[in-house]
Amino acid sequence: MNKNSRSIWELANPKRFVSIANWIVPFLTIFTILCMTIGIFWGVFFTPDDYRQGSSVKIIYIHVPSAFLAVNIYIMMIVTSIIWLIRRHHVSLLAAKAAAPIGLTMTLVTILTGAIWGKPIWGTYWAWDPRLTSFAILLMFYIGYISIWSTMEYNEKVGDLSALICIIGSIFALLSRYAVLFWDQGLHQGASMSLDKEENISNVFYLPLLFCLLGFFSLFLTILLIRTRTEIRIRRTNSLMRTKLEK
Amino acid sequence: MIDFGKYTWTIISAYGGTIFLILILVIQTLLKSKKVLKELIFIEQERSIETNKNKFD
Repeated sequence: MNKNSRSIWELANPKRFVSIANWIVPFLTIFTILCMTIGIFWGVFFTPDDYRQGSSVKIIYIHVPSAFLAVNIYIMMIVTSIIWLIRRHHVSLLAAKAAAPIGLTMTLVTILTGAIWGKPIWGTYWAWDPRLTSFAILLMFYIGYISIWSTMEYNEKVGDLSALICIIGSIFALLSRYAVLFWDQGLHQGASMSLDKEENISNVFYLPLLFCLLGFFSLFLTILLIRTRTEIRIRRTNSLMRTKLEK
Repeated sequence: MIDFGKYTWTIISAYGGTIFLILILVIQTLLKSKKVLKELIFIEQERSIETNKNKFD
């Protein structure tokens, strides 16, 4: 095994993961607060209004990063679930379990901010548009995934079941991401951010949005590390309790 | 005073709702982490006391 591949799988060691998390979390917390403060203040107070949407455009600084996370957290959960199914690393399964409530919150934030923005701009809080519908289904999958974990005690069978649910839901995660490209009949406009300069939003909005994206992503990493660390500790506590009871 | 014209309440409610949801997530995460750490420390202390006891017995 070469040196690089060994360093990646070292994170699968719970003890090593907890010590790395303990070291990184304070720095990530400071980075999150800095990026979010700069991004949101810059975006809300120092950018012009959109020529069509007026000042309601200021919602993109929370709507776009939360939508980006809602989909990508699910994709991260799929990857960690596949790692669990193939390599049986408990930390990867616990990371997926820890990420689900963050993904649920981000999906709720996306739907809530979208609905609040939709009323004055589209004239309705909700429409059965492809992207909105796929987000509603994604929300159901998050709820389903969390319910599986909350109804049963931690064991390998529950891990397999949750990984399976996660993989089935991947269709809707991908649909949420690409729905605006597949169908044109919806109310939702195209992606705000694109590698194509013509399609990308103006730099005036883009730069503060980048800060917000970084801030939200860093917030996700911070909470994910804390929650995974907590899950590892719960597992350790339970195994110590079992040993004590067996004696 | 924050004033975004006719969209003032749209923006305030969107940001307010987001802050509320994220704060709930952060507070729940921190409280759970603190509680679990306390339990783990307690059990590990108990275990080390028992181990020491067995050593001297």
